[in-house]
Amino acid sequence: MTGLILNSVLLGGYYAILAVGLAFMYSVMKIINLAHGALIIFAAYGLHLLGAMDVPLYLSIALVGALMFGLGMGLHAAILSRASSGGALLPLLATFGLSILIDNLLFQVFGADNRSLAPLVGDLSWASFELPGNVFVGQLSLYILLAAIVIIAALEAVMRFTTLGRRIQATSQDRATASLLGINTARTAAIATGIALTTGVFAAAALGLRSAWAPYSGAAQLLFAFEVVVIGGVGSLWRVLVGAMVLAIAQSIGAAIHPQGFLIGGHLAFLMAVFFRLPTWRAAFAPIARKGVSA
Amino acid sequence: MTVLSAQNMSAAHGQLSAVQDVDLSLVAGEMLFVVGANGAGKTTLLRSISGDHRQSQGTVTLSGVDISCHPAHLRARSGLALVPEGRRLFADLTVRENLLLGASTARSGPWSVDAIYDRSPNLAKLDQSLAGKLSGGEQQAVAIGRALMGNPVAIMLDEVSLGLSPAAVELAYATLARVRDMGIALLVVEQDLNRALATADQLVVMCEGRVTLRAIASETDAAQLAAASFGQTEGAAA
Repeated sequence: MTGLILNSVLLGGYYAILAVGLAFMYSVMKIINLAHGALIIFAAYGLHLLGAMDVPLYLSIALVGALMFGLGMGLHAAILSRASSGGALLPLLATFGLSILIDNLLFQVFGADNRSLAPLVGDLSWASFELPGNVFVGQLSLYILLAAIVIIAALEAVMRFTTLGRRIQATSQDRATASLLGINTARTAAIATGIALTTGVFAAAALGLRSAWAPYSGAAQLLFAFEVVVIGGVGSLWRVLVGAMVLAIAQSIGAAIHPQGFLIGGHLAFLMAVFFRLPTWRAAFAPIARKGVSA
Repeated sequence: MTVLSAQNMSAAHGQLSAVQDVDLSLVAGEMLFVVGANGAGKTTLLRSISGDHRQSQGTVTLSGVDISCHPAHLRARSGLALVPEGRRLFADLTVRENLLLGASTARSGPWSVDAIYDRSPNLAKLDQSLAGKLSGGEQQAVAIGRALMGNPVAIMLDEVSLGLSPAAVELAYATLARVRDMGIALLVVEQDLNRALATADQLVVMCEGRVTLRAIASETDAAQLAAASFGQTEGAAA
């Protein structure tokens, strides 16, 4: 039981790192980036290429991070800013198209082979800490969870305590007023996109180190990230961590009930979150919830 | 010396022409009021001057520099501030954060958060309050403070007294009087004719997108302004 909970929490750390870029993009620009998964896979190939050239992993993360930041700014200028001025549906279609483009481009260039970053870190990929009570915790999973917490804390700190963060919030809340105050809203939104894509590099590293990927793996990553964001809800990025934990625990419970239940458990948690957010369902549940409290 | 001037301003919403051939000019420390009925084009005029709405024709000059082709954020950086209708504060940010955002113009000048708090101690107490939770009067004070934070040479204010209690209106105008005394040009849109008459240096009355009356406050009266608001220009110096 302890093992199940611990492993769920560690898996939740991975889901959080996967989802944080998607949540950031949605919370600051109201864009659901359907290319999020494909861009993570793109970054993973970048890390893999540099790894093959014997570049140390931390340096690869920095280099690919810089690349993705630039790519994010370009993506905003070329596609997202135009798409988002055309209504809520257009960014969805544009990023969906982009994901197909990236998937197939990667397939064309790299072929269908599965790849992994695990060889780059030696025995870290299977090493573990032993806790009292004969419980083993994967070192890598623990580091991924810590990385997720650090990334979320860093983004929250940037948003709260820096001029850039205030400008991003102002641009997201009321673009017209932000530009009346002298804020270059196009540039600010481009930087925010760059930041969102940069977090994807950490997701790519986590994915590549703990397992393997192929060109079309993006959709699965997007699905998990999407479920995390919906379960957690928008607002503070810490909700991403909560959503990720709920998803991971639901999946683990599903797997404990039935060997095929892993994904179904997660999907059920996702659906319950969706229904709970529907106003009509909320209203229907409200009297029951009140009765429960008074009884 | 003319600080802000708008010549031949015209602006449209699609096919609907909202502002036609309006000329305005203000010198430093001058207060010009634009009055008129709803739909006269006052807000569109202000938005076109600020760059929030692209004018279809016309020239905006600020301190002698033509800024007609600049987007809104560059107009703000050259020293033109707009306090929009309804204040439009960032509701989820604190008073301090709202004020700090005003400094995005990156202009040098006397204003800082502390300087604002010195002049309005009431705001200092609200430092960490969310802007969305303030009363209308407090929001107006923050909005004016936010505009000052950009160290502007001219401030435009849309519907200053709309939705405010009489006491809050009094306070807002007391603040504006001090701002004017510092030599900042003020272009104010106001519904309350008597308030406009009592405060303005110059008055401009608009009706259906055109100027129907221009007057110096001491040489006109409410009846003349009201008549001009409904398009009667006889006997006026338009």
